[in-house]
Parts: sequence; C-alpha cells; structure tokens
Amino acid sequence: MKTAITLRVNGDAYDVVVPPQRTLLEVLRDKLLLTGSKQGCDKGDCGCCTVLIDGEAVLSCLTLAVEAQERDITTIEGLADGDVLHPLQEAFIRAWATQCGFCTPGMIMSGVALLEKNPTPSLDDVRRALGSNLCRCTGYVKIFDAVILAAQMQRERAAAQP
Amino acid sequence: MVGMKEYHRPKTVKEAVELLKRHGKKAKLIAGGTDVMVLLRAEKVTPEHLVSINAIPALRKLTFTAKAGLSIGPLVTYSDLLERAVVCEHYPILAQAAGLIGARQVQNVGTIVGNLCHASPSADMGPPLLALDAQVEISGPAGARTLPLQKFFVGPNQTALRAGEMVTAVLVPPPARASGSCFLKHGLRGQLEIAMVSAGVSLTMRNGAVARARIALGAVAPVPMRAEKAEKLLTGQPFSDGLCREAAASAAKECKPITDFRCSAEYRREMVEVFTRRALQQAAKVAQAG
Ligand code: FES
Ligand code: FES
Repeated sequence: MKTAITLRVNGDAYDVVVPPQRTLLEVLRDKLLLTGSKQGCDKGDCGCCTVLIDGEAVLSCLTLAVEAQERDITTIEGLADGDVLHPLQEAFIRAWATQCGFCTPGMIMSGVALLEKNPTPSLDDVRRALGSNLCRCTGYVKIFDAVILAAQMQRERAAAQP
Repeated sequence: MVGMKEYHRPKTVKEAVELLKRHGKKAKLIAGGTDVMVLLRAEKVTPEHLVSINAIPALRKLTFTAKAGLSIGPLVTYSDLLERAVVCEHYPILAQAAGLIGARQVQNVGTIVGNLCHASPSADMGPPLLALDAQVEISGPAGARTLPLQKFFVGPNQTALRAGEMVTAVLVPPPARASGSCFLKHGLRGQLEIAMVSAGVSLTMRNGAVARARIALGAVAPVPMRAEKAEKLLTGQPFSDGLCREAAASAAKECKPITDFRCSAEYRREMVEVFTRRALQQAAKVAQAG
C-alpha cells in the first residue's frame, strides 16, 4: 500500500506518494530529481548519501521516506544562496578537495553538520565528523583542509556582517 | 524489500503493542533503523507490516534522578547520550561506548534500545549496560514486565521478547559512590567498526577492597556475557596488579569465542585477557579516586 506524504526539502514542500519501502535517497533522486545526494553503497557504508534531517547528518539510504515526513531535510542543493556558494562549497573548490566528486556532496553535508555545532573544529574533530564518508580518490588530506578552511571563511563572513 | 504491505505509525505504546500482536511474525518494529534497514534491504527480514515507533515522542525520554538512576527510552540515540552532561558525568562508560559505535551519521539516528534488540554478539551497548546491572522494561499484550539485561540476550540476534512485546526503556541503577567503569573496544579502525573483542567493567570500592565487580564482554560468546568467575575473584579483595591479572586470565578462560573472518578464536581469547586487564586498571583508578 502506498502512502501519501509531504517531504520538506530545502524549505520546499513536496507531496509524494510512496511505497513504504522506498528510501529517502531513492525519493530524493528519482522522484524529486535532486540527484546531488549520491547512491554509493546503498547500505550505510560510504556516506555518499548524507543529508541533514533537522540539522543532523544522517544516511538517506538507511532512512525510509515515510520516516522523513514532518522533518526538515537539507540536501546539497539547498546550501547555496542563489549564486553565492556555501562556505564549505567554496572551500572545497579553493582547497582542491574534489577529484571525481562522487563523495563530495556527502562530505560537504557532514562538514555542514559539524560546523553548525562546532565553528572552530580541530583536525581531529573534522576527521571524526567525516569518519563514515569514504573517498576513493583524494586521500582525504585536502578534504580535511577544506573543512578547516570553511570554518575560517565562515568566521570571516560572520565578522564582516554588520 | 519484497512483500511489504503496510507502514504503521502508532501514536502510543498501546497501539504499537496491538499492531505487533495482531501481525505477529509478519510485523517488524523500526526505530532508528540503522540495523533494520540493512536487514530489510538485504531481505534478511521480509515483514509485511513495518511498525514505526518514531511518532511516539514520549519514547525519546532520557531521564536521570539520583534516586532512580537513568532511564533510556527506545528512541534515545547514541548522540543523545553523548550530548547529555548527566550521562557523561555519572555514566561515562555509556558515553564511551556510544561514541565508538558506527560514526556520526549512525550515532545520530541509531538507538541504544535498538542496539540491544538487534542483539548482535558484538553489540557495543551490551557490555557497558551489563556492567551497570541494567534492566529492560518491556510492554506487551500481557502487560509490563522488567528483565535483567543478562536474561534479555538469548542468542545471536535473539532476545527474550515474546510476540507482541516491545522494550519501553532501559533502566540503569544510580551510580554507587567510589565506583569506576570503563569500556574498551578492540577493532582495526577508529570508526565504522565492529568489535573483535570488547570489555565493559565496573568496580565499586569500599574500605580499600572491591565491594562489587562486573566484567562484561562482547563479541566472544553467542551473546554479550558476564565473566562471573572473574568478578568473584575480585570481590572482597584489595585491588592489586596481581589480582587484576588473575581476573583477566579468568575472563579469558570463561569466554566462548569463535573464529570468523574478523579474527580467530585464539586471538579473541588473548585479547579478552588484555582488554579486561586494561579496563579493570582504568576503572580501579577512577573508583579509588572517588
Ligand atoms: S549510499 Fe548511503 S551510505 Fe552509501
Ligand atoms: S573525489 Fe572521488 S570519491 Fe572522493
């Protein structure tokens, strides 16, 4: 039996009808065409599918769409403000933290969740927050650099605000 | 996920229990879903009815009083435990274990009670909660009952839950004065790791001697287990290095490890000795300082 639910994604409400076994990741990608969240392992091992639910990093491949109703979902598509990139997106570009890019959305979402809670993370904090995000290309060093850089940029942006 | 017919979102424990009873073996309860989803996706379980308890907010309660101790509701996540000062202060062993489970994304949604109900021999919350003499509060068609955690684990992925029953809380007694505890997990990597061996111990000192000892081990028996002979060796004795070694050796004898792709039974036994000794030493240090 299908269920009609409303998903709140990046501030927009979407009415969808889904079978109970559909994961949030499948609905985001296949129904809402928000393909930024990646389907890597589809079983909780790689972190490519990381999104925020009520501000917390979660794996959308291990979340049923029906379980995500009435929550606030943020995906990589919801980070930029028009043409202005989120500090983490900007930092990933500046620090050359992306190669094939498949892990990048998940890395960035884990980074966003970290910086929300801890605006001045140590390298260790970053490693821990990104601990279940796998990257098969970069060797991680530049990814961690990018998160540290983003924290710095975020502080600068905050300071520049009147 | 073949054959799933219906998703239920009960608003009360009573409703949830009714659904579980009505659909019996065809129903599966889901909370955080970090274990259930993996089972569903791999079709290791194929329920027709999925009963989500996520719309029962009362189940997210995490309460502490000096008299009653800690009560952990079935929707309390590892992150909830880690973020609560009262847990870090009075039950550091629980925070140690919660911080070693999976990684952040799993800690944010996975639940303590779910970890117990999945009943993996390597369940990280098993040993620390056994060491703290936790009880499991259960609701079912026949009413409520409480079981010591030790009796709750029946076999690999098997619990004492009867048809229609669900766990409504894990109860942890208040911490004793001059007590110390420690959880250690032995794995190959820092995160997303399943223990090869884990040890949770808790010691209470009185007049320079060990008044109460608990040694619980994970991943070395069909269920998370207590090393009761080792506990007896310690009880009533002044804590010393020699005694600690004796107890650790006893724990290694008492466990019943198997060989699997993670490591051999022999290795596990050796590591039980090492990790029990280390955990005891750390717990004793805290207990003696208190
Ligand atoms: S796709 Fe979700 S963790 Fe890999
Ligand atoms: S950049 Fe290719 S997987 Fe990370």
